[in-house]
Amino acid sequence: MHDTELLKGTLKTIVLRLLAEEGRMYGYQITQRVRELSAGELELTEGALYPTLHKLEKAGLVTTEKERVGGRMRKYYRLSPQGQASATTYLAQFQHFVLVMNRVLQLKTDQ
Amino acid sequence: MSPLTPEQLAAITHYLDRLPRLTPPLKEELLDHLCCAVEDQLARGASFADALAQVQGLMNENEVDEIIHSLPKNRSKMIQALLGVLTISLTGFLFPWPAATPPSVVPDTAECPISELPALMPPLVVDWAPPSHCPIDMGCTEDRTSSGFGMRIHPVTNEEVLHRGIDWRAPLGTPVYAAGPGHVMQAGQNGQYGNYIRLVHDDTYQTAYAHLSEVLVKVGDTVEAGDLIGRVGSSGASIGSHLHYEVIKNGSPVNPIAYLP
Repeated sequence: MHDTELLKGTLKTIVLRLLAEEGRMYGYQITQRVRELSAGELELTEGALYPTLHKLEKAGLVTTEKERVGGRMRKYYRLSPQGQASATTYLAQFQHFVLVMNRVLQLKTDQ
Repeated sequence: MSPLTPEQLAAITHYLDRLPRLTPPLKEELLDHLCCAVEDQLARGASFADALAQVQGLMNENEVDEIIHSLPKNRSKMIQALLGVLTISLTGFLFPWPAATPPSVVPDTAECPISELPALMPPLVVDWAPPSHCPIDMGCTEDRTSSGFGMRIHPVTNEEVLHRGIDWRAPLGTPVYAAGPGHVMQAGQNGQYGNYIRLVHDDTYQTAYAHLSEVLVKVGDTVEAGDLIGRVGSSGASIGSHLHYEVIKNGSPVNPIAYLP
C-alpha cells in the first residue's frame, strides 16, 4: 500500500495528459482510462477527481461542454490553449523529477 | 452497453436527491458518473439492485461532503480547501506510461528511456508560499506605487472600474521579474493589457504583468522567483510607461501589496 501523499500532486498532471491525448473526456471516462492504463492499479475516487477537474476549470486550463446522454446531462472537459501548454510543462517536469529521483535513490528497474 | 431504463435512472436520481447538500450542477455531474458505474455493473451481469447498492457504497454522504468541501470556492477570501482524503489504492508498484512522448520540452538527460523508469509517483505540487518576490527593482512598499488596488477612475477610459492590480511608474525598459516560481501560462498581446505575461505558480496563485515593452518568455517556460521575464513599457491602454502587476488567487484578483515584502 502506498502513501497517498505521493499521488496527490500528480493528479493534475494525469488529467491534463489524458485530455491532451484524448481531446474530450467526461469524469467517469477519465477514471476508466486511468484504471485501464494502470492495469487496475490506480482507482481515482470521485473525491479526488471532481475537485481537480473543477480547479482546472477555474484556473482556465480546461473548458467544458454539456450533452444529453442516456437521459441525463454529461459534462465533457477539454484543454484550453493554456491547458495545452500546462499539460506539456507538467509532464516534462514529472519526467525530469523521476529521472532525478531514479539517480538519487539508485532504484533498480527490474521489478 | 444498453442504456438505463427510465425507472433505473429515477432510482439513481432519487438516491442523490436524498443527499441534502448536493445541488446542481455538481449533482448532475455525479448523477452521470453513478449512471455510468451502474451501466458498467449491469454489463458485467450484475442485477440492478446489486449495482445500485455498490454505487451507493461508493458515493455516500461523507464522500459527497468531501467533494463539496474540496471544490474551489467562488469568493476569493475563502481559503481553498485541501483535496481531502484521497482514497486512491495501489496494489503494486508498476506504472507504465504508453511509449508516446509529449510534442516538446523533453529533458536534456535522456539516458534513461521512459519505458524503463520505475513507478515512482512524486508529489509535484510542493506547498508554495504565495508569490512574494518584488517584480520590479523600485522597492515594493505601498508608497512607491502610483496606483493602488481597488475601485478607481480609469486614466484612459475615464470610467469607474476595479483596478485589478497595482501600478509602478518606471522608465521604458526597466526589468520586470517573476514574483514566484512557476510556469508561463500566457505571453504576448492581450487587448487593453498590451504586452502581457501571466504566470501560474500553483493551484491557488497566478500573477500577471502588463503594458510591457518586451516579453522575454514564452508559454510553457518554467521560471524561478526573480527571473527576468520582461521589460516595462506603455503598451495597451496606458498613458505612461509603467508596470501593472496583479496577483490572482483562486481565479480572482487580490491586493498584491499584501504579498510583497
